[in-house]
Amino acid sequence: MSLPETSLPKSPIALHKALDKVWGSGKGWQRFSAVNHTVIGKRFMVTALIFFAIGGVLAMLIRAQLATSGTAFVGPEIYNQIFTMHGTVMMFLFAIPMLEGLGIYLLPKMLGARDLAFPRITAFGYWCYLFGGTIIVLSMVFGVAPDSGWFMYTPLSSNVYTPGINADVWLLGVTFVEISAITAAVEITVSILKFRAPGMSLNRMPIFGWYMLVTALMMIVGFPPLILGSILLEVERAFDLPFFDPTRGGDPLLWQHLFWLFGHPEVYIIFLPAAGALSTIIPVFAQRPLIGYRAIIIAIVALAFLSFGLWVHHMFTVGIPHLALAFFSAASAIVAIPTAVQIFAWLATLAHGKPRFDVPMLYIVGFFIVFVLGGLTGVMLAMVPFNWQAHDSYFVVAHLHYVLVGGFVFPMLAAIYYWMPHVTGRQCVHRISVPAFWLIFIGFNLTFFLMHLTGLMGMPRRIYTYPSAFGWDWLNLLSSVGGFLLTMGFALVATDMILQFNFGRQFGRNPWKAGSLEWAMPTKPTSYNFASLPEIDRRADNLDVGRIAPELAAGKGYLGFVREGRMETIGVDMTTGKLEHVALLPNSSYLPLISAILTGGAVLSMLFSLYWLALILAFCVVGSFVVWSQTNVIKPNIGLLDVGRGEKLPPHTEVDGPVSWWANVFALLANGTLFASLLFGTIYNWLVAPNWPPQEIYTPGWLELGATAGFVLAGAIGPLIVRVNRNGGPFIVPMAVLAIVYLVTLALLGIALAAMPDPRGHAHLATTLMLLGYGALHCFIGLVFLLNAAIKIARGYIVHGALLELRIAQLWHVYTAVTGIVAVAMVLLMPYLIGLLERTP
Amino acid sequence: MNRTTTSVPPHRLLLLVAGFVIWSIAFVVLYGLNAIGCAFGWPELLQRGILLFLFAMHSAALIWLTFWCRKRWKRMAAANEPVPMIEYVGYGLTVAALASTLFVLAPTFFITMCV
Repeated sequence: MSLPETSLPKSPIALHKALDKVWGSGKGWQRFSAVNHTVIGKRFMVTALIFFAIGGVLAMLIRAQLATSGTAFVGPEIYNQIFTMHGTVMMFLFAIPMLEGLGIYLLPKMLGARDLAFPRITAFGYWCYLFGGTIIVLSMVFGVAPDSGWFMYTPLSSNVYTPGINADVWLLGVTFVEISAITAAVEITVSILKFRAPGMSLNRMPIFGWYMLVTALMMIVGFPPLILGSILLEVERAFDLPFFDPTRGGDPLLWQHLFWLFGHPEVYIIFLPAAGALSTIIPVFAQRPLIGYRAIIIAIVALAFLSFGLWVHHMFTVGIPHLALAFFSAASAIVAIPTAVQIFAWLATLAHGKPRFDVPMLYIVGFFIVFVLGGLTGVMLAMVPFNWQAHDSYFVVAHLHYVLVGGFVFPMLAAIYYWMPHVTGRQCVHRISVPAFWLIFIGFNLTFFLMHLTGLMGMPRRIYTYPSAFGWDWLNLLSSVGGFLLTMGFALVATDMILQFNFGRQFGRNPWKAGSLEWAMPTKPTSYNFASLPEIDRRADNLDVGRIAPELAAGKGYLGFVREGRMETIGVDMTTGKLEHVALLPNSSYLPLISAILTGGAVLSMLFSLYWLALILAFCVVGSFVVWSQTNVIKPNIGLLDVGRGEKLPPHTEVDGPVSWWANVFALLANGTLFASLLFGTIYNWLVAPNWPPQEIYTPGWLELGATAGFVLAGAIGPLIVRVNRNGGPFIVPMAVLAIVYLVTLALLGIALAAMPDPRGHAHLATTLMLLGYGALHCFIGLVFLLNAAIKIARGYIVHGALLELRIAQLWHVYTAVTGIVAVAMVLLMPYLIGLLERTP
Repeated sequence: MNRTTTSVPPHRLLLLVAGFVIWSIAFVVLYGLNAIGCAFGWPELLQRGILLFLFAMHSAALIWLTFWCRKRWKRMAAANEPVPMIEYVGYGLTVAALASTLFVLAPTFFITMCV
């Protein structure tokens, strides 16, 4: 790193006070308005750990029940809720939010930025997660917790077999949490691509940044199929539209496809950030750079793609064509290769370094043993003949815990011990952490290794009791003993954390002698991360932290000052890391909390079938987002801003590709995946589901053709608005025309939907309703974009040459046009496709 | 200055995903056509012929992409230009995508088509 000698206007202390005044989150009630990534990241992680404790207690109840044969501890109804909630809490409320929290806390610090791209979205995502998770967990207290398994297979989770609100709690609560996860994923993606220290090109980015970038992109593509599935199942339960009902042209296997399209990549979404932590920590303790930086990047991108080609290996026994089984089996086996590349890179780094031992290394060794065993049983399960034998047995339970605990919990414990000094400013004292590790390691293997044996002896999953005749008793008893040892280990870790927080050893800067930027700041971290931003001239996990840190603290980097009480950080070119713009971020605000409360209200209203209230609250949520957009608005045509060190940059509103534009690109990518999943569901039911062709076929007419013309016009006028603005013309005119086009299209679709036969009659009609409804919803949101822009024009924030808002809206208009045309084309095509079925022998 | 710090336009990032996007398309197309063929009772020979043709087309696209990446790399090396990391990683990913396509879709040659 190189920093020029510049004279500074203020002392480091004065600079610290000035920055903290702007970036700090306030005390008391003001804590609810916090948007700072350090605060929100910690909240995510602490909340996730609380949910982990709840999930752990549920696991103990499971082991208490299964310790002996014929136990009367809990009955089947409660047991179903317990194991469903254990899986749901661990996957949705612990693992994903924990990795998000780690990323939110660490990424700006590692990349040399002051915050993430959208601080208010970060806060909104947290509140959504907290409220969604609370709804799910509280359902246990009221005895209405989900009880159909964490994967909610239909028809068990349909109205017929689960008539109460148990399944609705899962569907609505998890969707709520998933939306939070996607907002975080979009934010993490654009923050990594645009908010790095100047000079930090992609090839200088710390390896953790690459892992989180790939993970976030996987979340953007991987989560929408489950969100769509949850919407369809909830609509089926609430309004009797038969997407998964085989008696009316639906198919329960469609749910399995949508669930596992999310569910298998999810395993890698959980693993990759943990692997990123390992790739960061291992070189520090090996005292040499990571071997195979580029090979690892190749491996994780390959892993990301391959993980989307495995979902059917959860469905090998449902009756899939042989050739397809072979494709998925081969893909499931080959995914071991990029995983192995990483394992060998870590081993090589340790072998070529001078490893020193500390608590994080204990968990890393534990990871190697446990995860490799889980990986090997994974390859076994990828083989179709073995899979058929072991399917739905405890062997699979053992495998998934070896992979998930080995691949996520052990690395996360290493990460917690590694970064806790950063969070608390104190180091742990070894007396408790070492026995805690051994309790966890021995307890885990005792619990889960034996499940391989019970599984191979034929013990099925999800049974609440078993007879003593099969010889499973002693293995189950030992598993339960192991489970309690494991819990004691986690209790010791929790005690250790509390002790470290209060009585840990204080240290100077950078206790592990690491080379990444997060250690080049005060610990505990300040609200603004760096008093000034560094320039990077080498790989950013091999930096001379001891030299850089005092220079940054003295304000010798970029933006070593406060301007007009604004929160500012630097945006860079996404590949080269060259200086590009100054990003002006919004200050603390209660708006994220208000929007999340309104969203939570809408979810609860749906849960209790108060659909009119849900609709009103949904409108309020949209309204609150318009208010977000109208606050903290940047004045147009600011011009160049001084960033220090003799450089001047434009604000983010005056460049072509700021984070807000890219965020919309990635949000639309998620939306497009959801739409593609809807098309897949439509075609799947047509092709595979029983009871086709339907008795009543929806025949589109002039209404749909008129809507198609509306979508074509929207696609043409959206870009025209930007062009007219750029040329100095009256851009309000095409905006008004587009609003009329949207209104007419909405009306045409509304009439078509009102006139269609009862969609409860058949899946064909239900999916037609969803396709046309999707187009109508996008027209409505397009109108909201136009309304928002019109208000800003009236307030003088959008003038000629101020293109950002209009360019973002243009993305939406073009997307609406393309998907609307495809949706209507699908509806037009369906009668022909149904005709093909009639000619099938 | 680090040798790998040259100007790389953002669209070059597409090189990182190009190979595996082709892999994904091949996977979805072959899986989807296999399902359609089985549902409509296409003759096995016809179905296998169609799938093998599509397998060959996607493989050919990946082979072309691999050679294209390699040619770019060699050209830079010949001109003594530093090879950006994106080029290196993109080439590696294209080779990985080609190997994955050949391995994962190879059963098209010999496995029974339907149940």
